Amino acid sequence: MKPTYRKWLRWLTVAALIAGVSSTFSYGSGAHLIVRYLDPPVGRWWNEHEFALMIFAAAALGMLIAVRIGARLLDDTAARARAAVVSMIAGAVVLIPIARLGAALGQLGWTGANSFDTYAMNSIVDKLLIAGVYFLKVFFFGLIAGLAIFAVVAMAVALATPAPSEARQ
Amino acid sequence: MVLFVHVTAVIVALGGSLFSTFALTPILTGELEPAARVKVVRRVVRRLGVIVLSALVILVATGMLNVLYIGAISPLLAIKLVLVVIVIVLATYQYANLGARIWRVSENGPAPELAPLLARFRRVGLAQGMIVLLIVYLSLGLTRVAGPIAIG
Repeated sequence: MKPTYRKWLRWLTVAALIAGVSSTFSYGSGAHLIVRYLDPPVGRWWNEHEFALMIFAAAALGMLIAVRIGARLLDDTAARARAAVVSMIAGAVVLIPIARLGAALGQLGWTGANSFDTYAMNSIVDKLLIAGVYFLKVFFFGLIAGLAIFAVVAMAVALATPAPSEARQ
Repeated sequence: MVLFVHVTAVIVALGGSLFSTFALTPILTGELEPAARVKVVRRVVRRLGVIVLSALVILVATGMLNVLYIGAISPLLAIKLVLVVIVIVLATYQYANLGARIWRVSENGPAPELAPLLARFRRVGLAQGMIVLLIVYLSLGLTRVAGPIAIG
């Protein structure tokens, strides 16, 4: 039987992926107009929150993938489970500042120009591309932050785990 | 201030690893009996792990703030960030996996499986150190003022 944390990790990763892809697609294509047509209050709410959902989902996805990568690096099953659970909790605690920082960093282009400077003037394909690249950038910064969190948590778990003879005493 | 902390964290992480590989390990091998050497090595591995991984977390945090200060994500910076990911993965493997195994295996003194673990620990550390040096070299390109200084 698979440990519970793996189920949670998989479920959260899929949820973040679905939320991220759908909000990025909606933001890039202006799909909130369809929702507004069907239900104006819901459409307005979606339009106000889709960008925030996109950045939080991207950062969360990056951090969750980091936990999955990190967990594969440990060979002790118990330490792996403990490190993954603590990292997920630590990631949830710092998600808001990491997502905001990632969102600010993601707007920086190759030349220093803001990626969204000419966003409104672009065609739908360009908007989708800009939103997609932005999502990937925020994801990548979330991944780096998540790996760093996992590294320190894994070390803390290793320190807190007594050697076999110490545990027997 | 952020840059100062960032550079200090690099010095701590890289310096600690290099000192352990090139100064401490050869001296321990030459001066101590196997039992005493293992006792020291397992404690050094743990202590160094805490120092290096804590320095890495500080590096990531201050590095992200530095990118905001630089104000652009150039191709050079993108390469550097990919290398940072590799370094964090290697450091986690080195200290949280190999380090923990060394700690367990060496619990009752020298053991036959300890030597290959220590050799791998050193190899991973060296690979990591070389990538960090490459990152430092790339960072020079990011912080240096663009273009030659006009004279006259």
